[in-house]
Amino acid sequence: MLRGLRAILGWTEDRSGAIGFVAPILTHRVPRNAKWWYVFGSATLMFFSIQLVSGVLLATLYAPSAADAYQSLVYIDTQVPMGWMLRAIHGWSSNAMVIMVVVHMLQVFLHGAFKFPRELTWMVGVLLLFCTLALAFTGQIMRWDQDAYWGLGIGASIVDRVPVIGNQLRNIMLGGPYIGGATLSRFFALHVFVLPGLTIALVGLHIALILKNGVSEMPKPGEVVDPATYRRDYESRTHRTGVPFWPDAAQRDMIFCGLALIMVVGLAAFYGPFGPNGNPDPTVIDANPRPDSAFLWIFAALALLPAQVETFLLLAAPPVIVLGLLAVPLISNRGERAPTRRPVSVLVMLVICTALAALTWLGVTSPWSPVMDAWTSVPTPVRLVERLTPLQMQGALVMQNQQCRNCHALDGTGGQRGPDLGDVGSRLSWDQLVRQVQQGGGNMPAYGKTLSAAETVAVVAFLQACRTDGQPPSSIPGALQRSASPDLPPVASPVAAPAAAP
Amino acid sequence: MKRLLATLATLFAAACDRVPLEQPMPSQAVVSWDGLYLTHCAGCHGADGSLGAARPMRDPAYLATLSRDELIRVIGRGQGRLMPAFDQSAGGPLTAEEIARLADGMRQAWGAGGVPVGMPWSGSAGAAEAGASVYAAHCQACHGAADGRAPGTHGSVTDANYLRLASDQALRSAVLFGRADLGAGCDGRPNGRRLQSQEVADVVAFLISRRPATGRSDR
Amino acid sequence: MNEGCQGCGCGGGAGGGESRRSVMFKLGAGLMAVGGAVASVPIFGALVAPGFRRYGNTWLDIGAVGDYPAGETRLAKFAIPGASPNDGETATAAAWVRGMEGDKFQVFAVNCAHLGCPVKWFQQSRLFMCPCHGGVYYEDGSRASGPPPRGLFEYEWKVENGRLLIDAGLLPGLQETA
Ligand code: HEC
Ligand code: HEC
Repeated sequence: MLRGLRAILGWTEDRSGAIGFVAPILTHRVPRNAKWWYVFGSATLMFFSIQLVSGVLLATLYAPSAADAYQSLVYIDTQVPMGWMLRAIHGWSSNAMVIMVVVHMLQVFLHGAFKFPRELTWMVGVLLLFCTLALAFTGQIMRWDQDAYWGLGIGASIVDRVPVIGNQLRNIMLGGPYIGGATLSRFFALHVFVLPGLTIALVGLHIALILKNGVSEMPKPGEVVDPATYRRDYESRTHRTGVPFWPDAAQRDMIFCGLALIMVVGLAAFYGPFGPNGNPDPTVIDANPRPDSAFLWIFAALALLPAQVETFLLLAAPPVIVLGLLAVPLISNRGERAPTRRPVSVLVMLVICTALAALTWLGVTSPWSPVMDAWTSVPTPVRLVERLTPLQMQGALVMQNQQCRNCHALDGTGGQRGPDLGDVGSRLSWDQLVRQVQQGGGNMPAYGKTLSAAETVAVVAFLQACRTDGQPPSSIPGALQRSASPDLPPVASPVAAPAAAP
Repeated sequence: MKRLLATLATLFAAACDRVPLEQPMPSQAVVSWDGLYLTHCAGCHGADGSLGAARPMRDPAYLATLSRDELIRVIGRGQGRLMPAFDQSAGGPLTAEEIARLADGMRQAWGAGGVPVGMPWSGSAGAAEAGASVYAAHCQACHGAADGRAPGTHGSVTDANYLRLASDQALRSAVLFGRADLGAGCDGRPNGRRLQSQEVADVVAFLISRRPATGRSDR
Repeated sequence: MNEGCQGCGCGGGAGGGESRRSVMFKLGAGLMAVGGAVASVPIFGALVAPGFRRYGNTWLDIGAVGDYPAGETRLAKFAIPGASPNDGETATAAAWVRGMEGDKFQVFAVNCAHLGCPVKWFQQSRLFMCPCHGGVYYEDGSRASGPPPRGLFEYEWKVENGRLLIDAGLLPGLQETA
C-alpha cells in the first residue's frame, strides 16, 4: 500500500519535478528574527484565496444582468442553503483583505523593507493595493442596489470632469450614456475576470521577487543598507542564522491566518452579508447612498474639498497618489531602515494614517449631509416645548416644517450640517437672528423669499427662546431691545424685509 | 471524535436554517404604524405622541371625537400652513394604505377608552362679539387681555403673528381639547365647566376676528 | 527552423551573414503587429465604442400638462429611450418638474450637480437637498449652499397637444447641460 503510493509519487516527481520545484521555495531561509511582524502578507494572500473560492461559488449563483442581479442576490440570501453565509464571507473577507493589505504595507514602510534590493517588490505591492481596492469597489457594484447605482453615479460624475474627453471616458466606463445593463456587465467582467487575473499574476510576481531577494530582516538602528554590500551581507547572515520558512517561520503565519479566518467567518455568521440595500431604481429619490467602508474617506474628502480646487484635486490626486506610492523606494533606497532613525518617514506615515482615519470617521458620521427626515422625525426638545408661548410654539413648528432641522440640531438631536441651535438665543440677538434666517449665508440657504413675515417672527421668537436654563437672551448693550411684538414685521435687515400688513 | 463530528453536524444544520434577521428587503418591508409615526410625525407631534410642538395625538378624548375619515383627511391633505400633506397625490411620502394604517394604529393605541367631548371636531365659527366675553371670562387669565394690556401667564393667543400661522381648526381644537400634555386647560374646565358648543364657536370666532387680513407676503 | 528562432529570440543580435534570419524575424514581427492591430479593432472596438458614439437626448412624453400644477414641483418618471432589455429597473429615470404660472415649466435632472446623487425636493422650504454631500438648491434650480459648482441641470421642455415633453435620456454631467 505505502510502497505503491511512494511509487506513484516517485513517478510523478520524476516526470514533473514538482517537489523539486516547490521544496526549495518552502524551505528557503528566512531571517530568524522575522517574527509576528511578518504575518500580514500571508494573511492578505489567504483572504485573497478565500475571495477566489467564494467568488467562484458566488458566480455560480449570481445573475450578472441588471434586470436580475438584485433578485438573484435576494434569492441567494433567502433560498440557497448557506447562500447568505457565502455572501457574508465574501463580503467580510474582502474587508479583511483590504485591511491586511494596508497593514502589511504599513509594516513594510515602517521597517524600511522597500529599500534595496526590494524596490520592485514594493512597486508590485503598490499595484496589488490598487487591485485590491479596485476589486472592493467593483464588488460593491456587483451588489447592484441603490448604493451601487449611485456609487457609479459618483464615479461617472468624477470621470465626467476630465477636461475635453471626460464625457467620452464616462460613456466608455458606463458602456453607454446612462447607468444600466451594459454598466453592470462591464464591471462584472472587471470584477471576476480582469482584476482577479491581474491580481493573481501580480501576486505571483510579488512572491517571485520575495524569493529572489529574500525576506528582509528586522531593522536594527545603525545597520544601514548599502547596495554595494547588502546582498552579500544578507546572504551570509541568513545562511548563518536563518531558519527555513517551512516550518519554522510558517507556523506563525498559520496561527495568525487561522485566527483571522475564524474571526472573519464569525463576523460573517453573526452580522450576515452586506446589503443589498434597496432596488437600483433611479426613480426612487429617497436613496441615501453611502460607499463601503474602504471608500468612506474618499466620500468625506469629496464633501470637504473647497469647490474652486475640487475638480483639479479630483483628477490630479489619483495619479499623484499612485505615482507617489510607486516612487517611495526611488526616493530613498539606501541608508537606515529602523523607524527610530527615519523620523520624517514615520511622521509622514502617521500623518497620512491619522488623516485617513479621521476622514473615514467623518465619512461614517457624514455631518455635512442633511438628515433627510429629521424635520418629521426628530422632535423639538421637550425642555423647550414646555416653556414656549403659543407664538414661539408656532416658531418651533416653522423650524420643523421648513426642514431647518435637517441641518440643525437642537440639544444635540437633528442634522449636524449647521450649528446646534439649542442655545442660539443666548448667542445671537433678535436682529442677527432675523438677518441669518432671511439672508442665509455661511453655507445656509436664504429663507427670505420662502418665509412669510409671520413665520419669520415666529421662528425668530422661538430661536430667541432657545437658551440654556437661566441664560438671558443675547442683546447688544445700548441697542434697542427687540423681541416678538404683536403686529410688527420682523424688520431688522437692511435687505428687503417682507412688508407685513399690520 | 464522534461527539465532535456530531456537534459540527448540528451546528452546520442550524446554520443552514438561519437566515440573518436584519435582512428585510427594503422594497417589500411593511412598516408598522408606530414606525410610520416615528419617521413622519414624531418631529412635530412629539416622540411618543405628546409633548411635541404640535398638538398631542396621544389624547383619547381627541381621537374619540375626531372621526377616522377626518383624521385620514388631515394626514393626507395637511392642515393650515404648517401641517404638511402626507398623501402621495399631494406630493407627500405616504400611500393611502399607509395613512389608513397609521390612523388606525393611533386610534387603537392612543384613542382607547376616550370619551368624545360631545361637540364635533370641526364646526363653523360663531359670533365674535359674544366670543370676546367668553374670552375675557375663560381665557384672559392665562393668555392675557386681547388688547395686550394685561399679559397672561402662558403667552398671547391674540397675537397677530400667532393667529396668522394657526389655522381656524387648530384654534378650535385648542379650545375643544386644550393640551393635556402641557396642562393647558383651554376648554374652560379650569373655571369649573367645559365650554358649551356655542361658546366654543364664539371664542374661536373672536380669535379669528383678531387675525389681520393676510397680506401678500403671507402666502 | 528551431535554431533560427532561438537565434533571433535571444536578443536579436544576429551577426553578419545572418541577414536571412534577421529578415525572417522582422517579417514575423511585422506580420504579428499587423495581425494584432487588425484583430484588436473588433476586440477593443466594442469596449471603447461608447466613447465614440454620439448620443443624443430625445423628446420624451412625461405626462399631461395638468399633472404638473403651477406652484408645485413634482417627480416625473420616464423610461430611457433605447434601453436594452437587460437594463431592468435602471432603464428608468426621473426628473423634477416645477410648474409655474401660465403653463411654464422648469425641468431639472434629479442628479446633483456636485457628484450626481439624487436630490430630494422639499415642498415646505422649497429647496432641493442632496443626501450625499449636502448640496442645496432653490426651487428655480440655482445653487443655495453646499459643494455643487453650479445649479441643477435643466432639461429642455415643450408642450404639445396638452402633453409635456422633455429633451432627455442621457445621464447629465458637468460637460453637458442635461
Ligand atoms: C412639520 C410638522 C408636522 C408634522 C411632521 C406633522 N404634523 Fe400634524 N400638525 C402640525 C401642525 C402645525 C398642525 C396644526 C396645523 C394648523 O391647523 O394650524 C398639525 C395638525 C395635525 C392634526 C389636526 C390637529 C387638529 O387641529 O385637530 C392631525 C390629526 C395631525 N396633525 C396628524 C399628524 C400625523 C398623523 C402626522 C404624521 C404623519 C403629522 N401630523 C405630522 C405639524 C405637523
Ligand atoms: C389654565 C391656563 C389656560 C387657560 C384658562 C386657557 N389656556 Fe390656552 N393654553 C394654555 C397653555 C399652557 C397652552 C400651551 C402653551 C402653548 O401653546 O404655548 C395654551 C395654548 C393655547 C392655544 C395654542 C395652541 C397651539 O398649540 O397652537 C390656544 C389657541 C389657546 N390656548 C386658546 C385658549 C382659549 C381660547 C382659552 C379660553 C377658552 C384658553 N386657551 C384658556 C393655558 C390656558
